[in-house]
Amino acid sequence: MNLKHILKMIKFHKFFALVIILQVTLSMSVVSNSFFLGLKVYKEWSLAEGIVPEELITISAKTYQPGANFQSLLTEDLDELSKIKGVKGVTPINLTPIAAGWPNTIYDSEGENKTSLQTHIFNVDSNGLNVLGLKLIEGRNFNSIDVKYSDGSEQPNVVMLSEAMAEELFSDSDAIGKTIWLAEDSSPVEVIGIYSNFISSQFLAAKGMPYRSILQPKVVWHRENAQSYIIRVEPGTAGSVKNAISDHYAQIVGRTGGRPDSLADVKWQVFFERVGTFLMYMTISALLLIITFCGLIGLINFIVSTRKGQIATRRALGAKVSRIIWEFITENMVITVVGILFGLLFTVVISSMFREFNGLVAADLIYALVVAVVICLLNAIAVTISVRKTVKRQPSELLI
Amino acid sequence: MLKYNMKMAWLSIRRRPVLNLLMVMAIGIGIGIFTAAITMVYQGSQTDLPHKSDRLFLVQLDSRNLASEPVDNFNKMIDMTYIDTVNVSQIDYPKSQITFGWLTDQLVNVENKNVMPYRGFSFVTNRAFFSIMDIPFLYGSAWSQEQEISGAPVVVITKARNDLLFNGENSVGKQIRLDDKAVTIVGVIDEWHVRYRFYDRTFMKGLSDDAYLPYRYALDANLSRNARFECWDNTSMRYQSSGTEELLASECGWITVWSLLDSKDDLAEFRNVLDDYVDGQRASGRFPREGGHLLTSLDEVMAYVHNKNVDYQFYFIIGSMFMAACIFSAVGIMLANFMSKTREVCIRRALGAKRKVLIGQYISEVAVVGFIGGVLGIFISFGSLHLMKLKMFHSVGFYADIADLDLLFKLDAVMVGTGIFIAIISSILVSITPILRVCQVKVSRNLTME
Repeated sequence: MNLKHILKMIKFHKFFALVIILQVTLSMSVVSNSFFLGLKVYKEWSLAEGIVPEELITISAKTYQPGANFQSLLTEDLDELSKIKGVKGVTPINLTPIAAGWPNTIYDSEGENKTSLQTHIFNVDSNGLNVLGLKLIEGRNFNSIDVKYSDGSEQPNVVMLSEAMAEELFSDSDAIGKTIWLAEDSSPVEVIGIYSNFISSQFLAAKGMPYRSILQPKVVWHRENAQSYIIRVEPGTAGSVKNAISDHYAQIVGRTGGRPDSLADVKWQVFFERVGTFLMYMTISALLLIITFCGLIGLINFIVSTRKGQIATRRALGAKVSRIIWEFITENMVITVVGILFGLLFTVVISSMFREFNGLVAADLIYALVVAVVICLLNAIAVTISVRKTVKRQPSELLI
Repeated sequence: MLKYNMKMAWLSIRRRPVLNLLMVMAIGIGIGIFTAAITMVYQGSQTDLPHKSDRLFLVQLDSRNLASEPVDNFNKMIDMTYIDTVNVSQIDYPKSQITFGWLTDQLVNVENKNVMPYRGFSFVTNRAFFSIMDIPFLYGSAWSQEQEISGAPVVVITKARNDLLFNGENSVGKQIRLDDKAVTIVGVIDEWHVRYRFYDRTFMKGLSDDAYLPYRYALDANLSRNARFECWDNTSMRYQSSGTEELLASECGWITVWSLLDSKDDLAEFRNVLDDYVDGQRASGRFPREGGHLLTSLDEVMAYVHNKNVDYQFYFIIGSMFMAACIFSAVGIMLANFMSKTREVCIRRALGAKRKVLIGQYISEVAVVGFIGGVLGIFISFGSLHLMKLKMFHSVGFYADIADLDLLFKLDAVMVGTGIFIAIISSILVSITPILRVCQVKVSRNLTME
């Protein structure tokens, strides 16, 4: 069956060809975009955290005691939390890894030619690196002299950078001993160490910079913000430690530990909406493919019924059943491919219009081809089901 | 005739249950998803307080220094200074009611040890806020003028918090503590929800305030101020918890101010009032820039917010494409359905039935299928919207109140009607070709074949 004949047949059934093309175009666009959303969520979800979320608990201890001494409460908290069975270490912290909020802007130099970079500055004590389970790659860890305990007035003069941060700032040279500025017009701080990467926030992850972070040896106590801690626990003890933390604060009048969460819980909370959206679109896609399949069977049945005479003549002249089925499949495949090409175009246009798709690259279009293959396969099955029944009948029955 | 057509349609549908069920499913699912998408777009683009949103204005005075960049919309303009907030609210212009406020948060705790302390978010405001925003009261009322002026430690709480703290009983006269400060409840507001928290310009969804506090008390007690302080050349976060007196006398913009005019026609007059105020202040050395005020109606504020909301546009595009794909699939199913009627059409035509009558009957049949599909679609839409609401509720976080999201996912009569109407119309449109084809078959040839 040559292409000229196929095109002639398509032209003859142009209305139905158009319906099939539209059906395939729309299904392809909806399913591919859903697939892309799922792919993006999967990519973000499966990004290596660099820490063990299941073994890290975050709490925000709040105080409403009249005249409370926040400095001594901080010391008490560190002491009491360390005593809980299963706890391996505690550090005060100002942000939650994986889910830090709005980023900080830092500078690589002073003056007009300075370059600014977005990152997250995590304030921790000298246990911070070990509690988070990060590896020291170069330089040294904070010591007790580096850590500045204050109501916010004291600024440390050293920091540690994540590997990604160091690469970003000092790609050409060794970062150790270099200086950076943590705010505009601030005093410079010296880089004393480089540690292994961990995901700092979803904000930077969405911008393709998930591992940018800075550790600063700083512990601030003040009334307005509750004091947050990160607690490292023995594997498998997160549940019991969370309960013990809640019980501990419940016994102290004027204190509350809020709701302790493991970083695995935090990650799930952060991803909940995205996973929900992905599931929603995948359900829609599955339904759409089923409906498209039913519609195709109906359409092709009708087309076959209008071509009974043609089928009968060809059968009478000795054409094999499989050959006739194959010709119908080929004919429909030409129509389907046109629909798929339009669908791909729609997919690219839609995915470039919305920020939901940020982070996808051109290579991901290969996954759209998977969707295209599935649609072609459904089309072929629909054609086979519809044509087979008619073709198998005797030519004489078809010609009556 | 219509009754007869409907009867015929029903009989025909029952004769081919599988094909008609497929049709209903295709239309129902398509309409269901589409209606859910357009409901989210429609509800998400509605403005709260629709009966006064064109005369409720966000008031901003441009007290910035000369070096500041010119701005053309409210989102880039600074909020009001305390000096201007107090002065504007005291201007003798009876056709305008002024309210203002800022956010604060504390640990809310009560004597009942069974109630865990929680971080409560409050809006610090004046008593006019409740009448301007049409807030209904379940118990008690707003604080009095005297309490407002004297800085009395009083609070108005929400029904949700009253349920949590006092099991829903009338709590007026009881006390709660905000951190270590005791305040007396003077009112409990009834269910009151907005789609977006426009009044504090956070535009948050699903997170309502827990309580409302009088501004004089909040300042005297030095409650935290969760605001952005635009202080000419810098932003100073230290005013969140300290330097109250300095802040109140400063040129820092940080308070959101709203004015409700009696009528939209009073706008020009109100602009003159503000201009006069700015000129007066300029004479005393303030307001170095030209111009002076920016008034943005709630309608305009929300139009700006809605334009930024691209999520809904995405839902709308996907929902529309989904429905179109379902409708085109329905064409195929419809063709198969009508193809099986060829013999029936030929016999009826041979017995003298007019083509016009047959077309009318088949269109009635399709309309019935479309209606059933539409009804199914409404149920699917209802379920989809509920799932979307749950998704948003869980993603908003621990402090969310699902009732705050009801308005954004409400399938109202307009949407139900629209869904069913689209189902019927689209069913008829897609069936025109199949119906015309089946009614145009050659009677003699088909009957001979039989």
